[in-house]
Amino acid sequence: MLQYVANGIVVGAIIAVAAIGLTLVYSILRLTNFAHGDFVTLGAYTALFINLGLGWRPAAALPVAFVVGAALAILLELLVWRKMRQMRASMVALIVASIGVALALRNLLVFFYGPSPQNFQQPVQRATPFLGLPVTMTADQQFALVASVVLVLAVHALLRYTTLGKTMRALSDNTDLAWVSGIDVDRVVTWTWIIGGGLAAVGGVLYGMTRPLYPELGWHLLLPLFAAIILGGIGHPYGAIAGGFLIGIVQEVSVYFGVPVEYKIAVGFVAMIVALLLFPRGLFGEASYR
Amino acid sequence: MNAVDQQDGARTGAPAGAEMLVMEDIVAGYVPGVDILQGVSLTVRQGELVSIIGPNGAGKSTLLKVLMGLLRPRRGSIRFQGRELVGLKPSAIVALGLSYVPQVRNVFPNLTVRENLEIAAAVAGPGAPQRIQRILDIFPDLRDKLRSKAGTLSGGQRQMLAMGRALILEPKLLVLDEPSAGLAPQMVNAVFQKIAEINEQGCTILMIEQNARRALEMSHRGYVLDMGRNAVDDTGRALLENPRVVELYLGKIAQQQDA
Ligand SMILES: Nc1ncnc2c1ncn2[C@@H]1O[C@H](COP(=O)(O)OP(=O)(O)O)[C@@H](O)[C@H]1O
Ligand SMILES: [Mg+2]
Repeated sequence: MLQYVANGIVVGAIIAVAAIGLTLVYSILRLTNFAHGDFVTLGAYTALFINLGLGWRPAAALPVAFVVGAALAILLELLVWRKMRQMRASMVALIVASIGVALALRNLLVFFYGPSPQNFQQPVQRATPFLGLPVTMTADQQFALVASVVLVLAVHALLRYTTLGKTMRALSDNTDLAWVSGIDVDRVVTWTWIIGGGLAAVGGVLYGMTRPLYPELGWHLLLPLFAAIILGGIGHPYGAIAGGFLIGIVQEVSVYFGVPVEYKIAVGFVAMIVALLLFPRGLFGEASYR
Repeated sequence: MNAVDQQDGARTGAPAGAEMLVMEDIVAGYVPGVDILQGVSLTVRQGELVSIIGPNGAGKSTLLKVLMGLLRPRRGSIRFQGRELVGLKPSAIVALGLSYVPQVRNVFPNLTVRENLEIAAAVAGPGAPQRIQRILDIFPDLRDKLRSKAGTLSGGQRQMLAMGRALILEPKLLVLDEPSAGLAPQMVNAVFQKIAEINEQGCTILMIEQNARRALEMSHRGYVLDMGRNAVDDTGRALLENPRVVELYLGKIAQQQDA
C-alpha cells in the first residue's frame, strides 16, 4: 500500500509541475490551452533527442528541455496569442486555436520520431529504499520527485516574493488595471509563457524518466492535468499542485485496491468529481475576491 | 506650484499654466457603429484641478478609458505635453506621467495592500520602500491593513489604496473616475480633502464626479458632458452660477446633498 502511495506521489509531483503552467496561463490569459500537453511531449522528446544523439542522461537534458519549451511558447505568443488578444478573440476561438497548435505539434513529433513508444537509453536502474522509508524507487523516480518538489517550491517563491510573481497575480486579478498601473502586460505574459511552457517541457522529461515515451503522451496526460487544476480551483497555482498530488496518489492507490491499470485515470476523474461535489469551486477556489 | 485663487470655496481663475493635456474631437465606442463619444474636446493646464460632470451614461468614464489607452478612439487626437497618446500602450502612457484611478475595480483584490503598493512602486522605479512609506504618510489608515487582502477593505480604504497606488508613480497628471462614489459622507469629505491637498502640492488633476456641486466648488474649471458631447465648459464658479447648468445638472444632486 505504502509503495503505491509513493508511486502516486511521484506521478502526482510530475502532474503538479506540468499543471502549474496550464493553470497560470489560464489565470492570466483566460486561455484553456489544449496544446499544453504537447509541450509536455515536446520536452520528453527533446530529452530523448539529446539522450540518443549525445548520450546525455535525461536529467542533464532538463535545462535544455526548459529552454525549448519556453522558446516555443514565446514563438506562439508572438505569432498567435498576442494577435488574438488584440483582436479580443472569444474564449471558444482561443480554445480552437490551441487545439490546432496541439495537433500541429503532435504531428511534427510523429513525423520526426514515428508513432511507436521509445525509452531513454541508459543503464537499467534498480529500485532502492527512499529516505529509509519502507518504499523503493529507482534513482530516476527519486530524482523526478525531488526535482518536482524543488520546482514547485521555486514557483511558490516566485509568485509570493518576486515583483514578477506579484505582477502575474495582479494580472490574473484584473488585466486592464494592470495595464493602467504602468505594467507592460505583454512582457509579463511572455514571462508567464516562459514559465508555463518551460515547466511543461520539464514535466515531460520527468515523466519520460518513469515510463516510455510516445507522441500522444502529453495529450493523454492533458486529462489528468485538467483534473488537477479543476480540482484545485482553476487558475490557482497552489490548487494545481495539490490537485496534481491528489490525482496521482488516488490513481496509483486504486491499483492497489484491484482497479485494473487501464482504468486508473478514470479513478482520478471520479475523485475529481467527488471532490467538486464537496468543494464546488475547487479546493482553493474559495479564497478569491472578484 | 501655483498660488490658487480661492473665494467662497469656489476657485475663480485657472492657474496660468501651460497646456498639459489636449483632447480634441474624440469619437469612440465599444461596438461597431455606435459612437458613445461623438466629438469631445477637453484641455487641462499645468497645475489645474478640472472636473468632468454630467448625467449617468454620458460617456465620462469612456473618455478616461480612451485617454489611458484602454479604448482606441475612432477619431481625434490626444496630446500630453506635446506627445500624441493615441496608439500607445497604456503602460507607455503611464510612463509619460499619467496615473489613473478607475471608477470600479481599482485595486487588485487578491493581493495584499502592501503587494498592491509594491507592484506600483516597482513600476515607479528604485526606492520602493521609501515610496511606500510616503504613501502611508498620506493615507495613514492603510498602515494597519498592509497584510490584508485588498478585497477585504471597506469602500473608503479601498479608494485610499487606489489613490495611493496611482500617486506612488508621482504622476504629472492624476486622473480620477468618481473618487467619492459609494462612500459614506464622512469618507467623501476625507477623499475630497486629500484631492485638494494633492492638487495644492502641484499635481494636476482631472476628475469625474457625480457629486457635482462639491467637485465644481473645488475645481478651477469644469466640463459638462451630455450624450457623448461637450455641453458646457467654464470655470468651476461660473458653472455653479450658470442657471442652465444648475437646472439641468446640479439641481437634483444639490437637493440630495442638502437632504
Ligand atoms: N464595456 C462596455 N461595453 C459596451 N458599452 C459600454 C461599456 N462601458 C460603457 N458602455 C456604454 O457607454 C455609455 C457611456 O458609459 P460611461 O462612459 O460609463 O458613462 P458615464 O461614466 O458618463 O456614466 C453607456 O451607454 C454604457 O452603457
Ligand atoms: Mg462612469
